[in-house]
Amino acid sequence: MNQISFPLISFLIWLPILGGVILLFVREGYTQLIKLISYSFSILVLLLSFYLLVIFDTSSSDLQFQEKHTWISSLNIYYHLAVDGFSVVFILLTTVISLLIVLFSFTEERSQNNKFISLFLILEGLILGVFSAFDSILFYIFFEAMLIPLFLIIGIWGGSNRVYATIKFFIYTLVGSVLMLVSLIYLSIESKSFFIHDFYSLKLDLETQIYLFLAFLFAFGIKIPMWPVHTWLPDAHVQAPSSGSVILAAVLLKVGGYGMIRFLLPITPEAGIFLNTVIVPLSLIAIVYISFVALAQTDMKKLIAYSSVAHMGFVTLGIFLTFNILVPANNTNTEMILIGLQGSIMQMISHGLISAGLFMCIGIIYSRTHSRSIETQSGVGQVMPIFSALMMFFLLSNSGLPGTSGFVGEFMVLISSIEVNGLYAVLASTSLVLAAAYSLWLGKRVLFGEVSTDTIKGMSNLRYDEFWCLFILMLLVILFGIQPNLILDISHASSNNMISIILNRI
Amino acid sequence: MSLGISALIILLSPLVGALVLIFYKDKSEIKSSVIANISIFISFIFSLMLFIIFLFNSSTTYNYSNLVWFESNNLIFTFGLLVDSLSVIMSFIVTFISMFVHIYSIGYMKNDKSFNRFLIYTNFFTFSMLVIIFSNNFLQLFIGWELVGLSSYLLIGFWYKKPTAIYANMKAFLVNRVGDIGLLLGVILIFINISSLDYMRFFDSLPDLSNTSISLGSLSFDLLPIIALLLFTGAAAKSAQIPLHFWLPDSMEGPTPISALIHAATMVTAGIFMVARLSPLYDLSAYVLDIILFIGVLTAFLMGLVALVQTDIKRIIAYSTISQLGYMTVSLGASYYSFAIFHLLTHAFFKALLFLCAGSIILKCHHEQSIEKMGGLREVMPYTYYTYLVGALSLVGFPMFSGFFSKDLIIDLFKFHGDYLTYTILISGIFVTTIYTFKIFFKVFFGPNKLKIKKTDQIEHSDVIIIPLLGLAVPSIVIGFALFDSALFNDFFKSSITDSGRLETIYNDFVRSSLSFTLHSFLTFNFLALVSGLILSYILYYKNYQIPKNVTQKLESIIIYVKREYGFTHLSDVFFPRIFNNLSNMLWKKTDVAFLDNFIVNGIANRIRIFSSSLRLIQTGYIYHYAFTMIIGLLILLLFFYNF
Repeated sequence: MNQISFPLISFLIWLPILGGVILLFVREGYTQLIKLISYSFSILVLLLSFYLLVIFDTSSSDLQFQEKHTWISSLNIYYHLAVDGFSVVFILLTTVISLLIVLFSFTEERSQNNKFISLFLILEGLILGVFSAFDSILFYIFFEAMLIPLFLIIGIWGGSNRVYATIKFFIYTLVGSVLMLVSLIYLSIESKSFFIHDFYSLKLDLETQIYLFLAFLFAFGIKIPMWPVHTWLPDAHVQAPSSGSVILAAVLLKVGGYGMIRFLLPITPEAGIFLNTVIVPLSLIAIVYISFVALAQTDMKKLIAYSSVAHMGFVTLGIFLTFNILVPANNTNTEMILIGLQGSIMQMISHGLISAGLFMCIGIIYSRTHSRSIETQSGVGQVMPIFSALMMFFLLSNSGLPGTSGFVGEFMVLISSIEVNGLYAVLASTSLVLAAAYSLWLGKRVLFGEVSTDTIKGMSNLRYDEFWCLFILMLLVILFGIQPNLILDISHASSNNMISIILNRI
Repeated sequence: MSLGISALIILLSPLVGALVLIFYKDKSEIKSSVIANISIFISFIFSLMLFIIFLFNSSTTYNYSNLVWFESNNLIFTFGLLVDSLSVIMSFIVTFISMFVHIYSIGYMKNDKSFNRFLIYTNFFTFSMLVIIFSNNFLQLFIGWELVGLSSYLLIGFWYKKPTAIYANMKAFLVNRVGDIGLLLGVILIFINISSLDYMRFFDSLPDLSNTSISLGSLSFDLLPIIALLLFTGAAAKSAQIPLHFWLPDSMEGPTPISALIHAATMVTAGIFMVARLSPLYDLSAYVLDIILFIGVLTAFLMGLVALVQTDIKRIIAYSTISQLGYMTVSLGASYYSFAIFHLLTHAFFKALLFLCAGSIILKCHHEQSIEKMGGLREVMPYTYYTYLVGALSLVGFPMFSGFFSKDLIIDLFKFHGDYLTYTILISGIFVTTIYTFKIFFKVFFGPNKLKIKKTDQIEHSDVIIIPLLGLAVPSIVIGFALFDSALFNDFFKSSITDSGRLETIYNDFVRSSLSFTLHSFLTFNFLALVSGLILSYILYYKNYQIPKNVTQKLESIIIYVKREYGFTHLSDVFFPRIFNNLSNMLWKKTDVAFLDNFIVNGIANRIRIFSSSLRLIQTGYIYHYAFTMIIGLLILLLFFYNF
């Protein structure tokens, strides 16, 4: 087992939170000091996560860099942190996106910027906690605590209808996670431990599994979000400030997918098989139906929000198809299913980068024209050519263009879906046309054509910091499109191990 | 130098050119075009070198894959290069045309402030096309396939202020994506069956796969025909075959050099190339070949008729391109893949030539594109006049011109095999082709000079426009003859395409030699159709013979019907968009907002609020209300406990 002498993961979690707390005490006027503190903390965290990647042993699926301290000894609850392949992938996504968000947040004028950025740093720490907690109560606490900073971000700096959106978002996700808490407590009573990996070896009958499955599905399905519990997402996005939308789409949604892989797959596989004909169609509905809904949008943010739901449909599809390895009658090739599971992870990372880029682009337009309307704005390309090229790039990668990371995940999930059932693949592959339709339509209406209003004519050039945010994201999208191995290698051993855990359950 | 290195240079040189142009600060037109032209020229020189090597020894193949895309346990996705006679001839065509189009663009696109962007796109296109050509696996094929689609999208919408252009490019991309669904599913089907995407692995495992079947629901199909059909969907969209053809005429909104490069000579032939590349697969999927043949015949004939009723010079040539692609598809359907590639080769030269001529005419006529408004340009633009004539004769298949050798070969094939129905339809295709080709010729170059374009003392255009015309006119005349005996029927494709046995039969029993093929052709129906089309065109458009009024009136409704592409225009521009629009609006407003959000989510919240606010009414704060409630409660409890 891989061990180091200092608590690396604790540092990863608590450093940004510390930075956030310090920022709260800085007076608003000291812009330079605010910048210095927020940059140094987020860059430090990013470097720590790179260090984690470097010393992480990708060939092993064991938990690495474990930190285990007694927390509530009477209940057997531990402060237990560790990472495996799944965690590392998402930790890197979080740290990269968080740094870009800090960079991006300084491009916009707002009151109380120190508190705004402080909340993002705290949020970063909590998300990193979710991805590295291996004690289920600790996981739950991070999972819930994550809501609070975002609640404040949308509630304080959001749009005109922000109160409705925040309450909807908060109650929606809370309802789901309460059910999860009940299941976690049940599991811990059964296994006499709160350690998540101890749950994996529990022998549960089918009925119990189904209840647990539905509880977890509800919690993570709302988070990711799946159809039909997605309706909080468009509202939250529309009301959120740009940086809030970025972190929401790029990282917070991925917690749902991460949770599904961590809990649904290994704990309740038989229920997954039993309910497969219900949950797989839900993913397909998300892909096809939501793409159509996206096509009808007139607000840029809503369009991308719906497109996120559709893309997450591929993630859940890849995860749910994994259960099919347990059906011997299907004669399913485990290797193909493994590709699908890995594809889900790839799709999450890719969507994290692409949606971050798109929401930043929309934020850049909004900060200049104060409108997100698709129908009344056009001709941005003539005023801001470089910006338009970048936005067009993100739109095209959103439609799954090969050579960008957007293609890889969908391709991999399609492989496993065709292995299980050709019909699934046919339905899922309509996304090729539908995603292109809504993405290109957005580009056509907003970027091309004649300049429609005076505000567009008066748009100021892309600033350097805005450019670098988008440019770095673009480079990453291309890099992972050409070399997806960089991501897939990290999670490969863990995915392999997950498959064998599921196979051993029966 | 080894074949692999040469192929790599051919492939990467345009990409490097594009990258240099992206990061190149100095925006001077001359320097940009020098960079672009040099990068393409390097590609061309190496392609030419490979082509010559293969002319002498066509049996070498070089298959190299090393660059890993990703791997999962023992499954590996790689990128690689396959250099054989087929990829070499294709890369020769692409780089040749691309080179002349680049030169031509210097003249055509000058004074366009986005000239640099134009060159980046064209360079990127050339790179993507070469990715397809040199691919040794299906994944790379698919990636290149989408990237050429992307370049086409960017270039059709190059003038992004024009509403028609940005409409056309989106249409083109989406229609191609429909085809790509088929291609992608086909590729994945191959992968899950043989656990690899390598062409050679696939060809080797074909015998095993021919007994495999797949099930979809309760239906069961043979695997190979399904794969062949799915892949052909992609080919049909890219090569604009009915019913996925309707994006190509609209793509003429792009700059004319692009129409020549992408939408005539290279990208649209990718579908033909793919089927030829996969000839071992198509040999084994019998009924799919019949479908391909049927689609090809339909496209070749019907789209030729549509060309007849168009007035925009570029659209006429575009429909002509679709129709000629139909001839290639016909040849694929008859499983004479080499003939399709041969026609692809000659067509690339003469159709690019015709488009560049059209561009030169349009430039002279100040961007007027309707041939009805042109006339009398023979005096003004002699170079364009003669080169257009060469291109036209080649297109209609006049004996000894390039197009003759390739097209008549395809048509005569059906005479040789005794399929007289197809033969007749294709021959009437020649008739139609001749009429519309010479319609342009007579209307544009003869008659009164309607646009009053003056002859200047100088040459009609600058050298950069004239040189490509001449450069393409030469192969339009000679390349068919030059490669007929020495390459096509000399086993040039033997190592890459499976039809060499059939080729040998037809050569020995029917063609014998290029000379006898030419001499014999004067006595065939093909020539008769050509000459009668020429005469009819002469009467109608040179002599301007007035068709009697009552005939035109009767023809009117048919012409409108043909102009609307037999209803396809309505389908693509009105029907499908409307369905999509209504469906998506309904799903959003009715299901998502009204039902899920307002009824379920907010509905639950509302009901809780109504319930709790009615509950709140009980909390009045008056002591006698509470006392009353307590007494009632006590009574109910007493009743309950004593169970009266």
